[in-house]
Amino acid sequence: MTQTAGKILERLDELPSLPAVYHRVRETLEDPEGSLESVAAIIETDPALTARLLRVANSALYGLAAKVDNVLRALTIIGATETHHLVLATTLISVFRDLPLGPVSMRSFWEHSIACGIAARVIARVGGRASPDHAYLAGLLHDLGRLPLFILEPHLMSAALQAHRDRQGHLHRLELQFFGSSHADIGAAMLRDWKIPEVFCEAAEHHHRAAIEQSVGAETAITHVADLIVNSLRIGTSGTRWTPVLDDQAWHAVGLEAGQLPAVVETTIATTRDVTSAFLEH
Amino acid sequence: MMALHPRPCLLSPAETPGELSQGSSQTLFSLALDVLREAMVRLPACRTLTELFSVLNSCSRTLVPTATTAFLLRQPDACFELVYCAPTAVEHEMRARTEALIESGEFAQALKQGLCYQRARPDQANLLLRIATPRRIYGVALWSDHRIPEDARQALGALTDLAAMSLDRFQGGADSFLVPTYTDRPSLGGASIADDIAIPADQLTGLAHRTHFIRFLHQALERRTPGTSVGALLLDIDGFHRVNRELGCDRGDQVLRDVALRLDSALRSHLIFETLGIAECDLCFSRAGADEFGLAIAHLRDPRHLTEIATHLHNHVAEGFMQSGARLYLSLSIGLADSGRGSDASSPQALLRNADTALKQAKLSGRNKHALYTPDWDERGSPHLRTESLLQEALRQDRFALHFQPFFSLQDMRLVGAEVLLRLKMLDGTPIPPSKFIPVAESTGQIAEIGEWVTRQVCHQIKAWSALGYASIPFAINVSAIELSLPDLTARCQRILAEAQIPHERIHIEITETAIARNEAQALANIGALREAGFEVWIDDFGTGYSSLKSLKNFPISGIKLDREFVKDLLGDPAAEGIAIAVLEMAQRLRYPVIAEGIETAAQLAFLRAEGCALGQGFHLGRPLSTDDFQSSHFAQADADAPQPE
Repeated sequence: MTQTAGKILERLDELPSLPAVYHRVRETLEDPEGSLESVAAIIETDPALTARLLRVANSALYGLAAKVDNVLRALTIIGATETHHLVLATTLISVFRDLPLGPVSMRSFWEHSIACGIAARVIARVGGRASPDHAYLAGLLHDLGRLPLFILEPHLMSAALQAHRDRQGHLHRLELQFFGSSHADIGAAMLRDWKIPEVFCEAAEHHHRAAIEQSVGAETAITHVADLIVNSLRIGTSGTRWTPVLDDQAWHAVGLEAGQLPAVVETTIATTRDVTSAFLEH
Repeated sequence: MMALHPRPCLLSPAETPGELSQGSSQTLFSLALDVLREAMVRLPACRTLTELFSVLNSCSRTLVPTATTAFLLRQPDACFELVYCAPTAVEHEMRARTEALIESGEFAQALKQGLCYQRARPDQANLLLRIATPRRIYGVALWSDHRIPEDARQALGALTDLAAMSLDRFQGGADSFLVPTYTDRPSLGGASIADDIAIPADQLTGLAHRTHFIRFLHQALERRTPGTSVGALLLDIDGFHRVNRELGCDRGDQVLRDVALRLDSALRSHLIFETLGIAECDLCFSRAGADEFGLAIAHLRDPRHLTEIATHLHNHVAEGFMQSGARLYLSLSIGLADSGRGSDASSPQALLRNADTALKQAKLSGRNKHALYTPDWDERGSPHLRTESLLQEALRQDRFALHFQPFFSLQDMRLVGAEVLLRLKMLDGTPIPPSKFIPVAESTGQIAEIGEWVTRQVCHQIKAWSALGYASIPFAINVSAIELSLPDLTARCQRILAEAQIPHERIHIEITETAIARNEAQALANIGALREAGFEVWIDDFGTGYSSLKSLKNFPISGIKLDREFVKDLLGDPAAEGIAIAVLEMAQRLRYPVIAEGIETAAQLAFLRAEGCALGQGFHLGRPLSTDDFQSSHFAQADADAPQPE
């Protein structure tokens, strides 16, 4: 890893960190004594988080039968694992939402990430190779490493994007040239730093090279395919203008058939707008 | 080829792994249609050969997932040059294979008949397709795989034809593409053709040039259908000259590039396409001027969508930009116009003129606004809207003129100074009142330039009059809110006066309370600095506008000018009298001299004089006059009537 990349890793603490409320929720969920009641109580100490979380819970993401206006009810319906993911996604997007980036707006970035999460969830549900919950979070987090590149090295990243714009190669390859490391590695390092379960770190790390990694997990393969779908649909963007090349091995690993793609695409499009506005609108 | 076998035989599982293995030819058929549909949308949006071949390749990969691909274009010397190869790793192999195919005549057959399918070995098939339109032959496409099913071959043929039609669009008359040799260039990790920009792009932002933008509008206007119109948006970054001035041009360029990329990616979004019901190739986003962008939309179904797009773009810019570790907030003014609704904009120029009018309207209503052009503006709005460019012209051609209105000591009616007023006439001689052009100049930032011109001009005049030996009276210049919030106001005044060698006490500065309120801290600093440098600073229009007694208490001012509002109703209106008396009393107590403005009758003059007002100006005492008239009425006459005793 080159100096630039090393320096970015050292400077990660300059970025906003996950708020205390997330850590408390997580500790409570991991605590055998903990309960969803106490998780709900922690969340309700933060009115902004409560409101946002209820909006997301009631969005097309979970497809709840009736509108839920009570945190505990919402958590009980979606379950403990999803509670963790929901609180992580909500707090993460909230702390990063209003930061200015350069050539890509934060709004486009999260639109892309959320759409990728949704596509991954649909693929997992249809293909049956991974838990939709896990696939969703893996998709949502896959490009997280772009944020430190944009925020900490704006000029270098603008130069990389410019090279990409001038069609000199895929953006993640150009990142390797400019930084000596790509958003995939940096994102994985960030997630490991935050002690996010390894499966999500791996998905972020390998979503561009599913083929090279022999032991790639289903989540990684799903993230790879979801990223491709969302990029070709152009729902938001994390900077890239080219659709990544489909990796055959990843395609086989997700368990989809070509005929199922239109339905996956349709569901992704139909769901994304609603979920994005639940996460992003003030 | 005759269908001797039932179709499914063409698709044995062994040769088409992946998604096609479970398929029947029925699936392949519908898949092929999907692929072609996608290609029809994506190919016309391509701006370069690389993009075009990338699209061609990615579309074909859905049909023949495991095939290797190569595209060759005819060069001016009639040789064929490999310009694209996927995956890149097999470039040498593909090069060798095309050599072999040329040797064995398959290549020639493809050029002649349009297609050549060859099974070189049991495990290798080559499909050669001519890339050509009825008008000319561009090159040859090659797909190699274990086998390429008949249906896929037909679909690839259609795909290649589509690509050729797009090449026609690139071509513009030339017979062949001059493509740098593939091996000349350092590979940057992708199948790339460097320097292959076929549609002129702006070097800095990578967006299309204005010329292409206009061509796009032209085509879109020609092809519009009864139910649709063509939309044009002009986007201007508010106050961008300040970014350049404060951050330097390099940073300014960087910001411009970021804005361009961000807007471009915000536009190429599914959300936009879905809202408008259009495809990517219906949009053309370009750099239309120094800090101005243009967006053209073909097949626009409802002009109301234009405002939705404008809001979408405002949102994407609103979160700001990161520059040198600091947040930079920019806003856009957007002018919208569409070719429908009787606006009769059937040429790109007319459409852009309307969008430009709307842009100016948006600018007039403040920053971060958009406006949709309506035809009835033309009658009522034009002179006003054209003011901005008029101002620029007036500055360049010295079409502004100064007028002077004298003010007097009320006790002895001695001339003690004059207020400098700015006048502007249109080319045909129609005067434009300052109330029309000053707001425009303030909103565009031209006011600073105009203010500087005025100061220079006044200095010039003072010098001329001094040379003639006239009385050394001070001249009062109005300084706008914009100028009062500039940190270099004092330095600017000092510099101009120094250049003209005019003592500072000859210039009075008049400011309004509203101008102070705009940026109070900077205004206070400026007033302090101006006073320290020896300029007198007067509060103009006292009692109206954003009024508070704070300015009297906290600011180191020289005096106040009582607004005409309180003078015009004097005698008869007890409220006006009460206010005038109170202001005069208060000023006396604070030891501020007062100039009463707008004295129009002898009765008003007598009243003010009786109440102890020291100074006054108004039509009754002396109207604003041109330089020559002022000189003959007030200086020359003073010479004649009352020669100085010295």
